[in-house]
Amino acid sequence: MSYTAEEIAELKALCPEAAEGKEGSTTVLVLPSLSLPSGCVPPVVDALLWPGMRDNYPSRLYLSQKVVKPGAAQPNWNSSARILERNWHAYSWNLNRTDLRPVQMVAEHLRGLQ
Amino acid sequence: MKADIRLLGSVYAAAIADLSRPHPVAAERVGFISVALGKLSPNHFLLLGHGYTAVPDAHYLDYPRAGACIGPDAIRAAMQRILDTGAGQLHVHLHDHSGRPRPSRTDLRDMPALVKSLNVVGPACAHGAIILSSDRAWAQVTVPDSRQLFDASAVTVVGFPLLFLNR
Repeated sequence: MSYTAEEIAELKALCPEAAEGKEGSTTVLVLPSLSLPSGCVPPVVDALLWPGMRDNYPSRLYLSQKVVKPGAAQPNWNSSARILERNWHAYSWNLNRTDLRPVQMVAEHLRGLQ
Repeated sequence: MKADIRLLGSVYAAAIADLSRPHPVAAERVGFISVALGKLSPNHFLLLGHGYTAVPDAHYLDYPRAGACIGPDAIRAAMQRILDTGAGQLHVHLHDHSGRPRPSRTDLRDMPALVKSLNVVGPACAHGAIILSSDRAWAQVTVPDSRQLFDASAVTVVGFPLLFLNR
């Protein structure tokens, strides 16, 4: 799987240093310094979008550290993984759809932190 | 020098099941596959994987710069297993994706030292490292005639279905 220039451009509007990476046969998207919804601590982390099926989720958004939300319900962190030689953490958030563009996937996953 | 690895289907299933479990501090898990050594010809070795041993949770170190870091207790246990059973040990971990796995820089840096330690206590055995993905594998081994790690030429799971993991 590879991404169109338009899809990458959409991601760069969200995250200027967005780039593709290859893990096995899957092309993932690395999103350095992604801004998180307000109230998250820390407010900015590196992220990685796994765009296909993994852990029985149709896609997953991994963050470089477990984010906390002071005074609010905490995300259910249920996966840690080593991808592109780096450790990542993902919270349980099931999009239940596979027809989204990458930037839409990221936005939908971030709703889990609102 | 050539080496084929054949894993019992039950050993492969046990490894995948254990290595897929989350760990409290590590991002991935590690285990060891016990192998018997045979020869198909003078320069063609056969490693038969007949047992899987998980690394206990307490034998991992909290070291976020690696996916998993096992401590001296885990390595001593593997060395003791060689002394107790005479079986060689393949360090095994899972790269959780489809397609051919590749060793990371950490794997390439740390694996030779581990295998060297295993060779000290089991010089008559084959030892090495194997990385599984969801459908393929990568492996390097040493055999008594050669203490240099070299790529396994085949990794096969014996069972139904028969799986060829490094074609």
